[in-house]
Amino acid sequence: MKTADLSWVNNVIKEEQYKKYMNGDKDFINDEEIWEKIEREKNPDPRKIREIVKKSFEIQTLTPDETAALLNVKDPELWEEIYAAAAEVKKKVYDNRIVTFAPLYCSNYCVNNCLYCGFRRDNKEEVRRRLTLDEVKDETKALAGKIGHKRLIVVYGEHPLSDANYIADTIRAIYSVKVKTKNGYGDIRRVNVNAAPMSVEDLAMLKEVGIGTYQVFQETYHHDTYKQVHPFGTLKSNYQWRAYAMHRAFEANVDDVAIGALFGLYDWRFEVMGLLYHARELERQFGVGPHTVSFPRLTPAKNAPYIQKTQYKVSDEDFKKLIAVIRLSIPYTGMIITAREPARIRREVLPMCTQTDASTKIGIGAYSEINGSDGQDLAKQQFFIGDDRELDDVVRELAEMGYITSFCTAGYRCGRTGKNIMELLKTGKEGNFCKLNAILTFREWLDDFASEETKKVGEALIKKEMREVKSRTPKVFSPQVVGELENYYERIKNGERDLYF
Amino acid sequence: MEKEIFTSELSSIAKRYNIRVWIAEKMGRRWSYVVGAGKELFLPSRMIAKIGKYAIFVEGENFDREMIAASVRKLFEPRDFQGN
Repeated sequence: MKTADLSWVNNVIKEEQYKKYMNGDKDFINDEEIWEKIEREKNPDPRKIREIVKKSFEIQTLTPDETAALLNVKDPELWEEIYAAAAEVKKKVYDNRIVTFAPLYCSNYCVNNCLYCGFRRDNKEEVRRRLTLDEVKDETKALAGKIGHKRLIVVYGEHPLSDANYIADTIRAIYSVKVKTKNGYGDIRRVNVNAAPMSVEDLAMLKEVGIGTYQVFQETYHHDTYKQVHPFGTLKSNYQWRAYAMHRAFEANVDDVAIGALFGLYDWRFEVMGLLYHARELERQFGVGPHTVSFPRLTPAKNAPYIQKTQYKVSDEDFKKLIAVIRLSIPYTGMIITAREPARIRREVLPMCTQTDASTKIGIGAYSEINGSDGQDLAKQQFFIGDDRELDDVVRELAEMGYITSFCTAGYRCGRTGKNIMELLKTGKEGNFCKLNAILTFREWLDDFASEETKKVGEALIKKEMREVKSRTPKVFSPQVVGELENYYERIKNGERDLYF
Repeated sequence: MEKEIFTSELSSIAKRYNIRVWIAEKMGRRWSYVVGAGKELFLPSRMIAKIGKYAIFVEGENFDREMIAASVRKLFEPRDFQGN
């Protein structure tokens, strides 16, 4: 590593910013306790499982013992009940909408050497690149002007070239883009960030420029495995600096945080417990849990030796189980199923999830530069994606399945964020906003970006959604709400944009 | 403590005008929730006034923007919003 890079690395971690949250030398993950609970809850009584599911319906976070019991269910019929309940809980909290987004990879330089990652510094075959701010704008123009995305997750390797200043500049660049579309204009209204753990000061700077959700995955909550896959001496080898990233984010007044684990590094049941402990820790310390939870599975990456070696690869069957258990354990949280997974898996688990990506490209500069083929090149990207379908195809399929694609970013237009949105989620009220805003943003997208085929299917769905809204009057929506919805809907049809509840 | 005072005052305003009212802080192009009160009505939110980097948002039917804005502005008068 260059001397300048080494000097940067040595100044990243601020011990005092995470040690103050620890109980002596203990963090919030106790490996022995987790295994003890998983072992103790073996062969749970079906009646107990049904009682636990009832608690999830009340949108209450489960206890570790309750989650451990769910993880130990063996009866296939009981699992079917659990899947159905998980889908119902999702619908209760978020209605039938699925939010879409796209990842935008800005830089793949990285000082770390994680054994499962294509960006690892020892992977000399990786073509390294950092987008200039003009290139970031070009990528944004393609995403907002041609595809029609309204929200992004921007991704960066951990490196002095992509430090917090660069991240802030890219966020500003993305928000500055406004592109003319068929009937209106396109822009990115919410920039979520997936980046390395940062200091409170750096996070406060990102808050100032309008960061959306701040996402950091622990990768694995199991201490020994964490140590094994993140070589000693690298920045990422510090488990606690990463585990307390969200504590620092809340300290910096970032509204929404997102957690996740990379499934396949260690036993999936342990990782689900880790996510639950993390969510409960955030609720305990800050009164706000994770805005979303992600559960990517290990996928092929170039020169990443651990991927071939691991004995913990998650089967499709277990993948569905872990999603259902997370859904029921942290019922209020958003859950993201990404294009890492093939289309058939996404279809299967979608009823339990809230967000998905489409038209996904993860090469640096891929949206504005690569045309024609799917453009996947492992020398230029972190891993291989499993579903490269266009947004138009995904939107149409979702509509045929009865799900409305939402491009809603209303919370960020009017400050319905953080504690406020968490309260609405926990009381089942946010789903009402989701319903109204999904209709409005879907109309906007259909007019600006949809193919004729998708528009036809989409309009039939909108009619059904409108009927549903009216059927909830006056119990849920007042006549005035319906009036406002119809008014906004007509205005959007006439070319106005960004109207919301 | 400061937030608790705001919550209590905003609750009185929300009750008086039968609205939901909240204060948000401008962050780049987006708004971030700070404090608020009142029953959720699911109506579109209206920004009724800006105070520095903060704004007052209201949800309600046929409300008097000026009166509400004046009531909320008063909360900002004796000290700045950070409580300094």
